[in-house]
Amino acid sequence: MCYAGKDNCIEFSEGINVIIGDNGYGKSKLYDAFYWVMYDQVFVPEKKAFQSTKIVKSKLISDKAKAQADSGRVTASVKITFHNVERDNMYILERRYSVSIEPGNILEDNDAEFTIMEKELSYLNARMVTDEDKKRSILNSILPSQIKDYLWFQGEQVESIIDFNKQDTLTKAVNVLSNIARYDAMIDIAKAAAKTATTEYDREVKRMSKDSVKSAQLEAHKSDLERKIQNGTIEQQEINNNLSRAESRCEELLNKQADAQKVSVLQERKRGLLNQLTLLNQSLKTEQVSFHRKMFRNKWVLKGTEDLQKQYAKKFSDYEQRKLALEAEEKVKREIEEEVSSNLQTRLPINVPEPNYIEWMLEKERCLVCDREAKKNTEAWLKIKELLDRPKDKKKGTKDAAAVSQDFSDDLKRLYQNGLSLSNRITDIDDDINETLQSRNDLQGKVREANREIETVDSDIQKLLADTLLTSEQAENILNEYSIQNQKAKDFKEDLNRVTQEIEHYEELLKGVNDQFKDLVTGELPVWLIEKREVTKDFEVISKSTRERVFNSLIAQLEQEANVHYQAMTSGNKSARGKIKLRKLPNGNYMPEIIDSNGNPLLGLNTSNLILVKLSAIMAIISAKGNSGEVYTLITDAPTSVFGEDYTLGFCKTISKVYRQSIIMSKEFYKNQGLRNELLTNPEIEIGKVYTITPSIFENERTDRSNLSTKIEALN
Amino acid sequence: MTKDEFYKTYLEDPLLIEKGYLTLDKINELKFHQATNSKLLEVIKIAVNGSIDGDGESVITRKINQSLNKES
Repeated sequence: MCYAGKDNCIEFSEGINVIIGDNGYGKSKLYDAFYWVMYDQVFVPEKKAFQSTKIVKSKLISDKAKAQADSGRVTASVKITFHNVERDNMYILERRYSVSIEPGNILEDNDAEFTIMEKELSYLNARMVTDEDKKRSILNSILPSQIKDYLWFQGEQVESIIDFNKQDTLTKAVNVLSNIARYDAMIDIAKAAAKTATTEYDREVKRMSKDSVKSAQLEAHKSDLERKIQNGTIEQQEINNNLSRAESRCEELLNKQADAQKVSVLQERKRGLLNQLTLLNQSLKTEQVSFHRKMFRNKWVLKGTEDLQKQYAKKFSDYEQRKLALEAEEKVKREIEEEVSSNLQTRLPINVPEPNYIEWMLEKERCLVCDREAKKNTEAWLKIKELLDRPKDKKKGTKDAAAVSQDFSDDLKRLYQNGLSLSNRITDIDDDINETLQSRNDLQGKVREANREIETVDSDIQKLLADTLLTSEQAENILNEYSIQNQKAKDFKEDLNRVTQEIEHYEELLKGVNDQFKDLVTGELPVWLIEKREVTKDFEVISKSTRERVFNSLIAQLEQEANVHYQAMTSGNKSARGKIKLRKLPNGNYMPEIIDSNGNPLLGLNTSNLILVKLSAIMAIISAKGNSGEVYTLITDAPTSVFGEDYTLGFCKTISKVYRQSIIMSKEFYKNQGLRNELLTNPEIEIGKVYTITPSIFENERTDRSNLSTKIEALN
Repeated sequence: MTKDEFYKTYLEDPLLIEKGYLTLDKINELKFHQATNSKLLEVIKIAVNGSIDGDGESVITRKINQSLNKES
């Protein structure tokens, strides 16, 4: 794979050994190397599964090694030396896989070779172990299969090792790592003994019966009741399992529900803010439109026209004065005309005699007033004609005729008056504009504020969703599922009550039947038989209660141990809270939960907390095993990748206390130099060997792997 | 786990005292190899012995039966 050449040798010592490298640097391949030697399998990321050598074949071999070999055999080999320093013996495990390279062709072997060499003392020569049973025994002593999951794991597997969805994982772990199986076997023995004794007793009772027909009837009834009790017990167990599942799911959902509720509340708040923002934007838009309308409606356009009004007033005044002057001039002119006119004819009023008489007199050349002759063009005739040519009598009002050809006085006056009334408002325009601008600014401020709040709420939601690994939709679903599971749990409880009552009723009936059986007995039943029945019954009861007591004690021990690790791992981290409680479920299994100082379950725990609870439980299991004198090496790839850097040091401190030797692959120490220094110098961490690994070609530049190798450097 | 340790865990059961199989002061004194007058304790010892020795369930059950068949 990415390790090429013969110099890839890493030595580990007691304490915590750390391989530091960024993503894509080859940490997981190193973990794979361990796994391959032990189990002939490697993890194939594309398949997300472990696959055997038979399937992976030549991919096991470094591309660089394959590229550099023109022909001949190329081998991938991993050798692990386990040295028991107390006994000073050694096991050297080696797995090799080879291919034959021909020009343009690779011939793959089907299988890998696996050898175990044994040194009884480190300074003696190694002997190959050929016996397959012994090989298996050695492998099992290095890593017992039943605890393998708790010792060799990858970060992502922590979730499944202690799976909160499978309530019996903790129980299984306790079963595997303790002697509780012996107590289970004792219960089976006690049950078998009690059954034998009861059968023997019943047979004797039947034999001594005075009424065989009645006995037969009672026996049939008894069998029927026993069958019903047995069925009821099975049903009761099933309901208990269902109830446990529903309760644990509720518990799990309740934990998430708190987050989901927080998300829901935040989303509701976001919706409210969005509505508020829509309204504010509408108001702002209306205000914007209104702002333009106010240019005319509120006469803002007049702003700055004060001088125009003054200029207009002056012009209007000039116009009026000029007009008055013209009118005065006209009046004088008219008066002169009138005077002239009155001078022209003073004896006769105007139109007297009427013009037709005058025209007739001119024609007749005779004055009909004085009845004298007036020859044409004589003085008299001309006087008469003068009467005809007199200026017409000016109608009344003529004297008020306009002095100018177009009189705009009224219009100009209206304009002046309008202007005057508007000019009074110009002084208020600034205040009006200021008020409007202020109102618009307020609205804009509110919009900005709403946007800011939405951003904050969004960020809170995203943070919450990231912490809880929930999507927004999942958060909604959780609330729905919680109510469904809660209802289920209630229904199961009702079912359980019903079935329990039925069983009690049948047991009561069975007791009655047994009494009736006894009543039919003639003579005395053997004392030893009665005693045998009672003793075996008591043995059955005691075997069950002892098993429960021992198991509860193991759980209490596990809980105490897990809390020690949990507190150690979370020390100095402000977000960690509460303590671990292993809660008993109706079906007898246990579920880890975190409680506060009053014993109430803490809700809304983040993912890191839950992972830490699981790791604490794993460590408790291992340390409990360690107390029995068995010591194993922890090998884990990226165990801290599932929780934040804050916990990394706490994890290392605890690891170095729980495991005599551990090998962890980590990227946290690659990125954070301060953390790396702390790892190397913190006296609370029993440090082993620390290495960095660096690929010759970085992952994002790795188009061609034919020159890919990995450099290993020791830091201490 | 030794036979004695295994046996002791059963002796801690309250039912033994409740039903008069054992008195409180005797619990700590009793050892696996010590004979008792209690049939129940003898039955437990047979089961513990067989279990630790790796006997099968039927073998142990038969031994228990035989021990209780004796009229005494």
